Amino acid sequence: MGVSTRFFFLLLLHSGTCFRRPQLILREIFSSGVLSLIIILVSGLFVGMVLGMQGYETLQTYGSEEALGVLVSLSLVRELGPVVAALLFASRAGSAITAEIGLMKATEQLAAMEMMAVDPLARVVAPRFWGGVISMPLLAAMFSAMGIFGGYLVGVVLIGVDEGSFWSQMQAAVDIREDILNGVIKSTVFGIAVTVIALFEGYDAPPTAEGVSRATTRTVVTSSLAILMLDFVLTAFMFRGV
Amino acid sequence: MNDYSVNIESLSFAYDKRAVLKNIHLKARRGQVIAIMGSSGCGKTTLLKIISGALRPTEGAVHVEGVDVGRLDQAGIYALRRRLGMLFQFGALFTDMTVYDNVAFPMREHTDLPEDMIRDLVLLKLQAVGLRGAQHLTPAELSGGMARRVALARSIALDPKLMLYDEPFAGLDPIALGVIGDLIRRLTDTLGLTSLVVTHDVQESLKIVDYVYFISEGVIVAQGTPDEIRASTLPYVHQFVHGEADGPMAFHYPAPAYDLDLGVQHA
Amino acid sequence: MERTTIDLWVGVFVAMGIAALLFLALKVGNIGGFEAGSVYTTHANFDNIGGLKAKAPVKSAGVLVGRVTEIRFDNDSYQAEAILSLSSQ
Repeated sequence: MGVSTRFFFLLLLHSGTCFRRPQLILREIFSSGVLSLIIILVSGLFVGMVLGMQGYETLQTYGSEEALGVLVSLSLVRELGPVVAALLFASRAGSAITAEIGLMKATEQLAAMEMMAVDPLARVVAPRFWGGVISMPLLAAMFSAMGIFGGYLVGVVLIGVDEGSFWSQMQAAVDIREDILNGVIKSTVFGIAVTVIALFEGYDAPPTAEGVSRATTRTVVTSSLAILMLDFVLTAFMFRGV
Repeated sequence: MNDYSVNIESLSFAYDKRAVLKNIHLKARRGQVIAIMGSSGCGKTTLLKIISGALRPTEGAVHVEGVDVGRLDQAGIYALRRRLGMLFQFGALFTDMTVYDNVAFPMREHTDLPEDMIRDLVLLKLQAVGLRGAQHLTPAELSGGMARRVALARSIALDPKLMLYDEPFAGLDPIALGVIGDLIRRLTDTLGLTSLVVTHDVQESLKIVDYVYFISEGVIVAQGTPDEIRASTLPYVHQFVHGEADGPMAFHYPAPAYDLDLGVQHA
Repeated sequence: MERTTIDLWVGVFVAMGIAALLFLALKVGNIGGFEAGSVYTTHANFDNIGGLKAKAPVKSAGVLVGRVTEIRFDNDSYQAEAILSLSSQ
């Protein structure tokens, strides 16, 4: 924990180079963001459709099917969007980052870079960090949007909930600052956590095939736990009870 | 006034308390190919790491290109490394880049040269190792010997003064072996470098080097020109050069007497 | 991968992300509407406001006419005072 915190600060300290060369960050947004796009969009759609169905079942018993939009959108924007997108991000992009950096270390690519007087922290690690941190909130927003669309498909198009009340009740209940902004803050924090864990595990992995594969597993496990714990902490902070 | 690229005086190095190198004296005259030989685990790679500034000597002074490596800070070490080239054991090419981008990497990182000038330089370096035609391949498509040659082109990209080779002959077929050995000699002569080759391949390196140091268990046990080494009667050198299984470097790992271990009773 | 392809994809990706955020903010959230138009404020006192919260919609005959901007406790009348911001139209 202490070591990874130190690693995090070193990483921030070495970020100067990659801001002077945005091309490096663009590359990493591509590999962690664009390549996670499919899994995020498809999962978002299905999670939203399931929410639409389950929510309808439950709300129907209270005769308040019109609140379906509220249920789908609030659960996605506040919780499921940031959390599930981050979990998927950890297993798709996080594991890839760990494996890539672990392999670069195992095949002496990082050592070679240092021998060429190029700092691997600045050249390899920092761009991946910023790429991940920028991608994560965007992915979470796409996940939520896709999920709401899925809920709409099932609720309105398939089951026949009134379209007007679906959207208007949603708009009345979802607050831009308390719900949407908080969701964005959550996903940014998760993005920082996942990429730092993934980078650290890769950088710290024993330079063997076995070490890299273990580090990859650890990335997924540790960052999933971190996401869920941070989610509790953040929710507790944001919870007003009003 | 200073005709030594590397000048090591009474160097000792220890990981924690385990001494790895003891009282090493080593000089590499400019323009020469120097071999450092010894069996696996004798501290050769550690020596390279000290020369390149990755490790600090516990005792003694290491002068590389006139600077005392042990006293440099991080910035100084990075400045020194721009004048060093290093060939890693398996090349350590960047797997996510093409051959061309690999060779261009140090130039792009350290110079502001325009792209068309970089192109000329990259092709020049690739031509020197005979792989100009392979510029668009990725490292995964190269054979072991070709990868090593590309890595060689990359390490001379910024025209270093001193080249370090970590086991350049490991895992190569006889032809590739000859090609690499020939390249090391030729590049040293044409570019006016000094080359320091860490290896355990005796036959190949004796063909190309000017001077040999033998290290065993952290101590320099023998040194001399290839001819002197071939003629050497020192038991360790003889064992090493002729590849004998048993000798001063024992075949058996230290163990209690065999019959005792088996529990055979002596009547 | 070619540099231009990467640039293109990252551009598409970021555009999609921003579009999703805008969708959430405009279509799902309650931004827009009266904040920008001309409004006037009025006060309403209640003995008990129940679950009323700031930014809740104010409806007249089911039509959205404004929003609750603030809820506070009136120390003189011991009632809850809601400040409403209603559309001038």
